Amino acid sequence: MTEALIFEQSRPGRTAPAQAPLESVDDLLEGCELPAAHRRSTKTVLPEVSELQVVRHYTRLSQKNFSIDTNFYPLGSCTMKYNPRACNSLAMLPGFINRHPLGPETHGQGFLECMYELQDMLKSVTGMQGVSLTPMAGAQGELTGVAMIRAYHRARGDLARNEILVPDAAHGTNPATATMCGCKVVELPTDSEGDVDIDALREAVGPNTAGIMLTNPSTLGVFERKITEIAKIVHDAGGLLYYDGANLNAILGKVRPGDMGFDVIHMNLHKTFSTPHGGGGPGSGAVGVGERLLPFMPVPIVGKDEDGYRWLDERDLPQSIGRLSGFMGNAGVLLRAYIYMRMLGDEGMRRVGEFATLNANYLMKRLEAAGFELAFPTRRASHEFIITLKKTAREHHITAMDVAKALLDDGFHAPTTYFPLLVPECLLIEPTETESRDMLDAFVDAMVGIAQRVTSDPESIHAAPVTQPVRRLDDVRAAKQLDIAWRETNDA
Amino acid sequence: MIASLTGMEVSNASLYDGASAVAEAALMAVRANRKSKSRRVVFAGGTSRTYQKVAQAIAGTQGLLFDESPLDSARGIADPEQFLAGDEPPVAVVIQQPNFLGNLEAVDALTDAAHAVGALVIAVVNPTSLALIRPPGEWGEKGADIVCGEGQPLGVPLSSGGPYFGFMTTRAALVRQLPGRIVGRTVDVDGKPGFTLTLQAREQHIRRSKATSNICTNQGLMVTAATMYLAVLGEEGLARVAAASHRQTQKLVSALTSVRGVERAYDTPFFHEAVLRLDRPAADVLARLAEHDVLGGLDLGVDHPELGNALLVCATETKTEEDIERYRALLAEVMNEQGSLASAG
Repeated sequence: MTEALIFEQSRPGRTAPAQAPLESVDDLLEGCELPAAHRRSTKTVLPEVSELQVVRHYTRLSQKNFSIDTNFYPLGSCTMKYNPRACNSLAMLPGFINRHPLGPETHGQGFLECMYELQDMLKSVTGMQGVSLTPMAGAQGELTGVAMIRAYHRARGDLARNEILVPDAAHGTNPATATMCGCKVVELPTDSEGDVDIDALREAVGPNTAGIMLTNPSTLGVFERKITEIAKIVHDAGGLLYYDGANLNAILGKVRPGDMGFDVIHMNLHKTFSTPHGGGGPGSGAVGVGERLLPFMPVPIVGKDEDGYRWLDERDLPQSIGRLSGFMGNAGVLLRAYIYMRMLGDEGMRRVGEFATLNANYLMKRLEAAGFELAFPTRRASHEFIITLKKTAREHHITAMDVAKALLDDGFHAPTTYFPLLVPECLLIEPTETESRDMLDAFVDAMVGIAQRVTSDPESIHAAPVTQPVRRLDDVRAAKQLDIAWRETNDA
Repeated sequence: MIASLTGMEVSNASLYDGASAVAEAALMAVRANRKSKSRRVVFAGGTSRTYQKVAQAIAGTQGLLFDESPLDSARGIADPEQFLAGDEPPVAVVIQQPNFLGNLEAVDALTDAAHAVGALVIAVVNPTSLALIRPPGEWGEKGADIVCGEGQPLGVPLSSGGPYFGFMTTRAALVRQLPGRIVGRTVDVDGKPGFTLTLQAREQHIRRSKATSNICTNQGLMVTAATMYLAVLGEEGLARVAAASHRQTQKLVSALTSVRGVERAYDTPFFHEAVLRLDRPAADVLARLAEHDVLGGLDLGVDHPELGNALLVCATETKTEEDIERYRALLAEVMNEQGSLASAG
């Protein structure tokens, strides 16, 4: 049954009385001086419903979601892993959740101590010299990183350096970020084994090179083997190295970007460090920097002196690139990351890296043995890997999208499809460390079943999904006949 | 819901927070206002200085120039006469209502003045206030062009500053310039209604370096909570919350200004925040109050030294008569004690 929109359930005069002040607006405003010229006279579309209706409506909507809490969710590059419930409960303690962002330092020492220790833990995990927690998502972390690189060159009077090198396999936020920072994007090709093309890199660097944005392991699901060489080429040319640490799952406790020669890194804390981000956030894009970029970090940062913990702001870091949010970023997400790291400890974090990689390689080998074509058959997987369905698409007109939809009917969320863009008909698969071998085997069985239906029953794959709340949606109509805001006239 | 509250036609599915939403709105205005050659964006005096700093940090690298118009120091609002006088017309203006000092701006005059010189109007608003106060879509002759703000008041916990969510709405004609995710309604192959992300050709995963913004992950969970908050309260409930906030602030201001050495800084209408002027530094008074676990407001001396010993106070519907009386009594004690110390010294 289709769930009626909350607007369609609205009936004039119906209210949820327990949730609002008891007095009427007129009574409340009696004797107040709010001039009529400032008063609103038009109606809004806010629904008139009971509290029970609201509870039922949103509970039912939540049940339509395909989620990590209900199903395996191997969405490559998104790291849909299990986030311990304890991280959530502790971060929701009243002392944390009700703390005002502008509350005095004297009344926030506990929170500040958590943030100070988180800064230190992230420094030690990444091998960087300083950490700022304020960026609110990966893309803002990237913006921060590139802005710091730009500020560094400018502070030295090296104004010509405005080119950012970006591998063609990179996440779309990389080139979008470089442009947002007023830089020119120079794309680098990838070689057949998934590494950056070193000769092309040598050609591309020069006196205009501000830096390079690299993900390692890359979005192709492989480790960049020539990273030391890349670091040397870029540094020798006067550029800096930016590490897109979207996902640290594969390297946690094993290698550190600081040791690989990177000057700046952003970390999607919501992926690796325990925030349920499905549905689009909130996230956190904390940044770590090497020696050269320390003065340029965004503020505020938590510092410590003899009186305790305190905020460091523009007065402490006069060369800072500034502020990126109203306060200090997504504090609630940062707390979850802090609690997660404290719960795991060094040993636990090493096991995250080991099992994330082991699960990916196990799944990759089993799928290869079952006849699926790997995009980079000679390479070991990082925390994720790519299979390509180009043959199936060519010979049987069954695309990566068709397989993704068919998986839904078998109870598995689809892997990431059509990303990275340079592998045709690809599925980017990331099992994460929190899945059991039984679950990985069940996923292989489902994939094999779909592969068999490619010839025996292709119609069932084209028709998929049939078990979900809706079947395939008409995206073209969505864009052509825009229906993006409720209007009373929609009623008709 | 947000489109309707702000009096606009379309909304995106959220940005990170109110401050970064202002930066994104400035960038959007430059894209949308093709007739203007200017890269200058003018903040009405009284716009949050923090928002101005964040806009500078995020959008300044793309060649946008930011200015602040003069504040009418007697009224604590932007002076419409001096708003855009003399300078080369900007590409856009930013008007915060109520402004950072809590005062209600003369939004009609400011909006019309900006439109008269070809600038787009970016409104920054408190969403709760819009249940009571005229929405940006109705400002001046033509209404604001882009509306944004901080979504935290809509049922999102304070949580030391985040996660919150920024919202953004605009006219239908500018929808393709909006940053961030947009959700649309469509039908599936059986004709059954469903929802999908739409107009993705604006976004980073398709357009890469030519996207309207680099934004990707945003604040989905907070938006869901805010939607439920608005559904439970409805129009009447939200209007009561707004009215109660206004009334409690009015009571708070009356109570506190009855204390010797405390007076209102401006005689301008406000929504739920107001500036008090003290006869001594606000920081000292706040520190004494904090010793008694009363966090008495924001010392404006840090961001607005030109305002003197100024304290910004606020009350919402959650503050009771007892809370207000406790604050008044304690403030009287602190002002008295420090006053007598000062005279003794």
